[in-house]
Amino acid sequence: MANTAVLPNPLREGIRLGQTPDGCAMVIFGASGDLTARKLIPALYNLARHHMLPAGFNVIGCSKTPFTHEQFRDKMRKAVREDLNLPAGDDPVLNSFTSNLHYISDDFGDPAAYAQLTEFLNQLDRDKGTAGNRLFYLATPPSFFPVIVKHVGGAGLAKPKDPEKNWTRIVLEKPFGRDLKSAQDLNRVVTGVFGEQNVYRIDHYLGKETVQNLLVFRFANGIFEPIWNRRYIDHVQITVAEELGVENRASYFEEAGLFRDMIQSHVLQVLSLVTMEAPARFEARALRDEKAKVMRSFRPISLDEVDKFALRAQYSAGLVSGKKVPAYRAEPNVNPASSTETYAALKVFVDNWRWADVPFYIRSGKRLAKRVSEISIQFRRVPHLLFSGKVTESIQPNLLSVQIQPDEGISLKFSAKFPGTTMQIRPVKMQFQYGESFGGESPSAYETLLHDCMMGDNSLFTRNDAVEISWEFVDPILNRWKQDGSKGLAFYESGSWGPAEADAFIERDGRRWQRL
Amino acid sequence: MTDTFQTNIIGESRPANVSALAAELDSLWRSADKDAEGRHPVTRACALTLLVYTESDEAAREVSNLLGALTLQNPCRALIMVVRPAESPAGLSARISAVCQLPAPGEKQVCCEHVTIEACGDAVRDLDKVVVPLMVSGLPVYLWWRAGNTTEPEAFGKILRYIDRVYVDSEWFSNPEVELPALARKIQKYAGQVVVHDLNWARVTPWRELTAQCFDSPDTRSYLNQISGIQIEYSDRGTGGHSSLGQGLLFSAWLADRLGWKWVGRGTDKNASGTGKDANGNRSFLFRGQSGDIQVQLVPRPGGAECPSGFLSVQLKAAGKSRAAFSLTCGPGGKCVITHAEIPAHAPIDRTVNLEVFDEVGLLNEELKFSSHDQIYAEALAMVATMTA
Repeated sequence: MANTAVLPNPLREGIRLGQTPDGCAMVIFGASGDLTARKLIPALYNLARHHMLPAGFNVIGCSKTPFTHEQFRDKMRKAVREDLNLPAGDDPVLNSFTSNLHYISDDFGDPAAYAQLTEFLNQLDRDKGTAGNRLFYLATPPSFFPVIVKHVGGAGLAKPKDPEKNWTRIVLEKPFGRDLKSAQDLNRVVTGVFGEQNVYRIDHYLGKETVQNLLVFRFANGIFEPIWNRRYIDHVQITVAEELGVENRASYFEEAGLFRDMIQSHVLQVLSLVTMEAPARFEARALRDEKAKVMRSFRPISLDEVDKFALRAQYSAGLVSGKKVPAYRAEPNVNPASSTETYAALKVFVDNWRWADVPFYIRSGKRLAKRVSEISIQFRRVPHLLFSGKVTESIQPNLLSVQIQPDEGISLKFSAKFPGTTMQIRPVKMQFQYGESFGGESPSAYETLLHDCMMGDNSLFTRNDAVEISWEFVDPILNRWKQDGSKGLAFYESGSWGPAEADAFIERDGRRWQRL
Repeated sequence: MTDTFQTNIIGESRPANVSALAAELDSLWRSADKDAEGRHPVTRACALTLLVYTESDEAAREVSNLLGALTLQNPCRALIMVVRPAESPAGLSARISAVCQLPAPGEKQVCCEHVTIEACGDAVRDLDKVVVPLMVSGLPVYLWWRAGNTTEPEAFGKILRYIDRVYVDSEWFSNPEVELPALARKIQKYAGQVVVHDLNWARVTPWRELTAQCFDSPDTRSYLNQISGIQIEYSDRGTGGHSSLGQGLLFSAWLADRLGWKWVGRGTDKNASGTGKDANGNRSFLFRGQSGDIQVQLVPRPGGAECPSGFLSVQLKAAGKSRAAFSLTCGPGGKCVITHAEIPAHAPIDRTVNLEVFDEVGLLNEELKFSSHDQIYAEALAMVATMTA
């Protein structure tokens, strides 16, 4: 090497040339699984297509399933072609990308496997320009996390070769524990080996454009923040509804349930973005500090209060998208007497100056009427109605809706005079839709998050304190439901908007779920 | 208010009645809504006003055909101006249409307005009176300058003051060694008023990106200071039959500017005729860097259809204590680039990466993503002016 000093690359200056991460080796544990083929490799290929991966980027898939390097490459080539709908035929770019995919078939519990991995990583450093940087991705069932982390640490792979020049990071897929204690245990193991600053807990929900746009919407516009508080907002609803049932995840879902799967992870993160204060700067630490701070303000729900603040239900048979679907208990690999919830509703209060007494209603479920995720912010009614008689009945409160999926956008509902000689008032909607204002494709959540991780930006990843705070908040609810078994479990017809009990849950506060 | 302004006809010379044209647009949307009953609902979308400057009916027709693809990503009100100051009789006329994107079943069709305004003879002076009121209030106004020269008619200044950004394509320049410096002067003249973007810069961007990537690694970074020679092979009949010399100049000027090289002069092989080219048409430029002289050679290659992006290859050599070589070569079909890096004590690294070749609208869509002044472009352009003075 001609000169050991590492200077900034002056060719990267300017507004156009996005940063490319350093050369690195990404080790995927659980590489024979669905996540690798359906999400990770297509996302990496897309990054490569957009010149966002360095020349020295290589992937090593690790799993028990026996594959040769070439078999693994073939499988991944096929997966990329299917996922991205690429035309058949020779594709030199895809071939070049997959030539940097490698595979080691071994047992995660065997220390010898890690010695082999170490040797292979060193070889890639020499031959492929991976520069001593390592990214470990745990795409395995969570029960494997501690053993893999310990072995990676034991093999000396968790520490960078030269801390001045190299980095080592680890990405964990959710769930990060199944209760507070297991989350704490996992955090202890992982941070003990890697250090918290190198741990990236991935929640693909936070990589979605609309979720990221929440921050822009709140903090890059002058008109919303002044009214973003208890003085103007009556209540907020967050809905994450799916048409799908448990599909092929029944074994996992039976253990986890909807509350862990959706609310503890995704929805509470979204809630923190809606309710947090403005961070001092748009950078990871400030952002994550504010998120953790507001999560500490979520009013705890005691075991005795669970029925007042939370509700659970399970889908029965019904009709979704014109097709008959079975009840949850009739799904393959589901206990016929299962008390696992597939729907949950929750009322949260955020006890701070900004949000005191403003209820946040959350609902999420499977096999609901349609797939939609939306944040609905309902403003207070005007303090005095000028209009008399029946006209006032048609005046509805202003509603700001942030649609996360499928039609990403933001709309504002307000009242307008219906044209005519009499005073008639109708609600109308002002709408911004991503698809209409910005064409073109957005990067997938995994592309965004994987690139961030390689760049060392953990803004969109969940920090250990946020994970533990969220478990601390949800543990009493889960414990109470565990105690109760099937007692108190409501049922709803597949294809509906949830159980009648959920309507009663919000109606007793004089409010209604938004019709989405 | 008179009702004299007609759509779909080339009318006689008359004052342009702006409110009537606006009313025609309203009527267009009402009829589109009516036509769409029972089918895809019509959604009118607009994120900006796009003015397009052309100088012939043919060019305006081309633009009309291209705008469908543009509005898919950048819904806008497009005002296509056909400006012919030398033509008589003098007059203004207009045509309007809505361009809709065919949606997937059940989705809304997103439609945008296109207004073509033809100005001939003295009526060019009144063009602003038609165009300015049609700019959508509160949204940015961009001008796509789709002409081979950048000399605007005198009266055009009245429109220019309402414009936020101008998009030119220097590939249209027949003599980039003269016209790129002229563009640099124009950018200086309008500095602080409008931001100028060059579609040709967007063509160069993937090559700049891949070149920058060669030096992202700490192992290769230090060779930037030891570059001794660069050879750029460019197509002399690139996209649209134009020469890619302008891209070569911009690319080499960018490297020189970013790496802080001092301009020395034209290369030693400059011929006696003073054209700046040797017998093979090669241009050579000499710079001085930290580690000595750097020779940049621009080598034209006839044809170039197999590499529509404009470059066939870029080769960088580093001399000094340890030698290194980096190359980017246009790959099969022109849709990929083969990169090669060779540095001491490391195995050579080769890979094939995607090269997206954009058409004119694709380039415009790319440029529309960047809202701010591109200082790097401005500095590269200034360096071109130095190199070609």
